[in-house]
Amino acid sequence: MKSRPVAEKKRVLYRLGEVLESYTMLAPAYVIFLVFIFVPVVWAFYLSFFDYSILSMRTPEFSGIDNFRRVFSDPVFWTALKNTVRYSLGTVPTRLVLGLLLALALDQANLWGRKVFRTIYFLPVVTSMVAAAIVWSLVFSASNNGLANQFLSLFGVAPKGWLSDSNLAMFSVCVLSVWKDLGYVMTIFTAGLQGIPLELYEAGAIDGATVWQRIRFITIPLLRPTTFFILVTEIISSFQVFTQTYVMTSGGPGYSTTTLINLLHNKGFVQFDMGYASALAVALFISLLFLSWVLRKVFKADEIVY
Amino acid sequence: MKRVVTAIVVGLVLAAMIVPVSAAKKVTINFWQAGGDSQTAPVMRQIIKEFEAANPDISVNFQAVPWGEDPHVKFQAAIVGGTIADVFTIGDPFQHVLAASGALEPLDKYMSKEMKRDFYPQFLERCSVDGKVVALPWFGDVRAMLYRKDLFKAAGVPEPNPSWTWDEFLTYAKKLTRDTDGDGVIDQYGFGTSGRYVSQYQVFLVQNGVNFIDEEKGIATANTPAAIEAMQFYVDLVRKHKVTPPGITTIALQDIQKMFAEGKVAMFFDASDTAVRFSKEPALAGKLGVALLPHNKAHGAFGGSDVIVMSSQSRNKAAAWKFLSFMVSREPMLAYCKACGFSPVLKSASTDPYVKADPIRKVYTEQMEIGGFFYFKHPKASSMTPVIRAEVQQAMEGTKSVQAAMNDMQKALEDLLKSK
Repeated sequence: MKSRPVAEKKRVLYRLGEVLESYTMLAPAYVIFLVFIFVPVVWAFYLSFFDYSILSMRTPEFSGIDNFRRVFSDPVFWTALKNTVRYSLGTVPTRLVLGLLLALALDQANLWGRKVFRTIYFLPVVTSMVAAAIVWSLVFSASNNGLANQFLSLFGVAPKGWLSDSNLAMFSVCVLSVWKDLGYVMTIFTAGLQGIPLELYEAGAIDGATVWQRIRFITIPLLRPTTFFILVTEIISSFQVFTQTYVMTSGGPGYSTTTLINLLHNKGFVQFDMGYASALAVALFISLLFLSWVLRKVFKADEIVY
Repeated sequence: MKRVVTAIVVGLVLAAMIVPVSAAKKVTINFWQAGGDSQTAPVMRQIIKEFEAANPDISVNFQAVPWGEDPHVKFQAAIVGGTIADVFTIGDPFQHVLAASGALEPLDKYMSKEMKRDFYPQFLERCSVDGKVVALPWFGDVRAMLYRKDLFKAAGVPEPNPSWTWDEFLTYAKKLTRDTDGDGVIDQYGFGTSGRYVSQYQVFLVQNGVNFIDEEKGIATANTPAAIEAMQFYVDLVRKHKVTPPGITTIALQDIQKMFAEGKVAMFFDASDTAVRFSKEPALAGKLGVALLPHNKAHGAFGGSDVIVMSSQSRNKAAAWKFLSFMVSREPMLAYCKACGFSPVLKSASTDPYVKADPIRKVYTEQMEIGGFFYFKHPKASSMTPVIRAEVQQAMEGTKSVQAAMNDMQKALEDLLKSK
């Protein structure tokens, strides 16, 4: 039997070294992912079938689908679901439209100071949500000198209880949330816009397409993968809304701003009822998975070829 | 030369014999404080230093977890994981939650009769489960009435007398709600409160001789006539008499404090640390008054306490007890209370000028003695809070009548009491 040529052997060893090196470099990220995300996720699935209060030091007791039954028969769960959907509908489309408009506006190469504006619009994204929520509670103060009420008084409108009126509280939370994450959406759209070949616009211009037609028939269709990405991630993060409602209203007045994660936090980390909280998390996970799948079908995201 | 070598050898041998022994005798205990922060750290370190100086065989490994970092959740996780500190402090009523699972070492067997007698009984009772002491109170506080003397004077309202009633309170609050600059808009309100905190309205029930639940009988009492009457009184302050500022269903306490400091609110309930802080505020000099709360059928003032406990998992219980008992002894307790503005819970500490001579502290001590009550010590207490809050907020907003809100609350509390 003839031995392999030396060159090939060397190449195999080199490849092996390369593979090992990549895995070593990937290891920290994977370890963190496994320990802090993957294992807890699997554990939450497991716990959702158990009666487990971390207060009683008993081992978890298997309870079948009891936790899910408790979740679905809890009227507060349905209220929280409704509130979360309201929040999602209030923030995601608004952010998408405003984010695209901002990205288009700041994409004009000859616009003065566009980097400055991009930075300004992005700043809220890197601000702590707790700090932002506290500042916006002052803006939405029900007294006459809250910024929002002062603005209304310019038009002779009586001051409103932005955070204390159950018809307005979720709206106020949405306003803060749109402001907070608009810069992120704008940045992703900007990246998407920069990926569209300029020739297409030039060709459009030669054919006599107006600015609106170029946006309508070139930009929007070609931004589809970007839009899909933003839509999915925004819907997922909108279903996880917690900090702003926790800080600004603690879920009130009544249950009007109690979201699914507020309820989950309350069940898991105030009442220590981990079984219920895990079942809620699993239900949330499955509904988001389903929603993403539907969106994927609707968008057929990977069909765009230049 | 030879002698020097011998001396060194003997010395080393002796040292070798002594060192392991003393190393084995030196015990390290872990001590965690819930709610400790950069402001409380210096006094805590000083107290621990004094303890270590008096007990050279024990060293204390101290960690503070601020309230903002959910110390109770962290401690609970450490108990389940078996890494909890030997001694730790928590906020009442969490000791009942922990005691229900056997996480706390009962302390009766360590305590002398004199020691037990020195605690104010209502605080020690608060730390007992089925007659067993599972925690020791470390400091206490109640919420009394803070009021603005200058606004009272301007509105021609007499300052509250110690035996004032709901009627007087309402009359004053109405007179203090006014348009001070004549532009036709109310800019000063008689009473500041918030639907966000159960402590703000549970008082009215207690002052009416009732509560949301009857702890002894283990039943909900939210829709009893007395409870509904008390809640109606509270909701009427907001909706009918309009003596409270707008936005109070969900407002944060610090915003009420701000309005009080700005002179937009004439009265509100708060703990003594706030009163002490305001008394040092130059802008409020001579304007701050502190009074007992009004009463109806009974006196009532929402109290709170931080307690100190020993883990049943501790491997150094003797040393842990030495430290725990030091922490609740007169001098360290007074030192901590003085630094943070709270009330000591030992009778023997009341001889200190801090407790009786200071005009603010005096009112709080008296309020603690008459009518001081605590949040439920039921293990489900923390589950009851969101239920009570949500119903009261709906009544305050007017989306439900008081009667309907209390009926719904009754049902929700009954369900909670029934669940295991």
